[in-house]
Amino acid sequence: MSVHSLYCSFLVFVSLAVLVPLTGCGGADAKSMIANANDMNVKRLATLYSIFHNKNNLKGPKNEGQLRAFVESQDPNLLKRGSIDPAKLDELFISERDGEPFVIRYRVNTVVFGPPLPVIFEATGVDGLRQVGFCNGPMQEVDEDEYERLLAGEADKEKVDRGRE
Amino acid sequence: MELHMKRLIPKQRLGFTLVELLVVIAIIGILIGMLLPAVQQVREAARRTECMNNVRQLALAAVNFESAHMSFPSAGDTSGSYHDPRQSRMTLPEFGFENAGWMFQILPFMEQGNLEVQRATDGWFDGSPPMVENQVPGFNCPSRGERFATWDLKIVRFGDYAGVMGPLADENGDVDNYGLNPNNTSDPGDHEASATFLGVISKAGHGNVSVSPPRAKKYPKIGFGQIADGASNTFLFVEKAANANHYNYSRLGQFDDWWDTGYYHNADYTTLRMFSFGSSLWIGSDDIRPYADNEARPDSWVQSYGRTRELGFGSAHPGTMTAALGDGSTHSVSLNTSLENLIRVGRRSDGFVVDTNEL
Repeated sequence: MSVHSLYCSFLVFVSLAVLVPLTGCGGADAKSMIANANDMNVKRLATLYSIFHNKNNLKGPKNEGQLRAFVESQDPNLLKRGSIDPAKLDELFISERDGEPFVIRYRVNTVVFGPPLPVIFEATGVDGLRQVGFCNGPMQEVDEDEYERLLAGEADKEKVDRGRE
Repeated sequence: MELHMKRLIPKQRLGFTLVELLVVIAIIGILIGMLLPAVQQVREAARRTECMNNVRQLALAAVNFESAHMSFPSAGDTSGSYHDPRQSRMTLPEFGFENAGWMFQILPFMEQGNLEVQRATDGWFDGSPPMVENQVPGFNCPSRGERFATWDLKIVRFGDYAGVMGPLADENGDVDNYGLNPNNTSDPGDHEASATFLGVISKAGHGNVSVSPPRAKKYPKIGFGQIADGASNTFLFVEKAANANHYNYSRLGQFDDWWDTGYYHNADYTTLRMFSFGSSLWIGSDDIRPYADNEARPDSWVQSYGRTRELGFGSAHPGTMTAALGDGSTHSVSLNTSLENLIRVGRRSDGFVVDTNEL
């Protein structure tokens, strides 16, 4: 190792040692958090279903056509935060994991303070587990029994303990 | 001969040896290690001063609001009108009273009038981007930094300060420990209909939109004349508790974080503190005593996705939190202050006068 490269390393070390404690490492960025929360098509579709739901008196879309039209009507800049391209909606409705179109429950309604609703379902999944996207809730990976229960809508009316309601 | 001379004269050194560099690096590392705690203390002191200045600006805005409107900013309508994702009711005042919270109401008095007018076009929620995506300088403690939740594809900005609404007292003087009905689909309870809030930032009213035509009740406005304990003895704003592990997060449901949903929020814990506790509902003294941001929370506070319910007071500053009084002054309050004394200073006309310098 030459003296020059050692000297450069020394300068870099001193700079980092001084600047990092003074400036901090930086916090989470809101837009990257949105991107992380929408890093798969199952999550993106669940997000779009949630937005539709919240803007339509807590009622789900009647069919795929209505959901697609809704997505196309949204602000492209907001969609871009979730890596959603309204010009490539066909890709959005297909799972990246199994390459098959999602099974989607339409006309799923709820009430204010209602539970998260399972609405986006992988058709095949991977290794016996299938991903389920929830309207107003986090994505879950479930086994066959739970999948059938969620697909049948048995979780739609479950009571959610939010601490006071 | 010349070649021989060159061999005898030592070659001039071009740099440091590895050992020299390592020694210097070690010395600098030790010096930085010694200096860093002092630097961090100075930085934290500066942030605490800035935080106190933020609270003072809020208090001055509220006092100016009182001058203009003859009453302090209100807590707005019932919380349910904010949580209702249809949101159409939050884009304008209705029922003859303001339904948005106090942080929204003082925007024009904080040189944020341009943000306030976005309500009509961008709403709190429906704009692109919505109004509440805007960070308001002065709404956040610099020690916590910018605070927000992401919800769907949007961002909800938090505030770090709460107005003092106090509990509800009915005509017999009985105190309702919770004091507000979060739903906008029911009438105020019997106890609510004839009651007043004991703090300064009182709920404006309660609208029930589940009936046609909607029913509403207005609560009395609070001005300086209603602060019987004296404005210099009554809290106006205090710092809210926040869990250092969850300053920012992704919100995954409609209401899974109802205790902290943005500065536009009306009558609920997002922008208010109740200054009361009791077993009749679900609030214990441990729920609202001051907590440092990095202090461990009770297990019972843990909600979905690991976040904690934060209903009390707190601060990121070592040992103290900041509060503003009704006269616009600000004070550092010890996190060890008894809840009893905090409650006395929080209520505007309970007859107890506490020396705020003792807090």
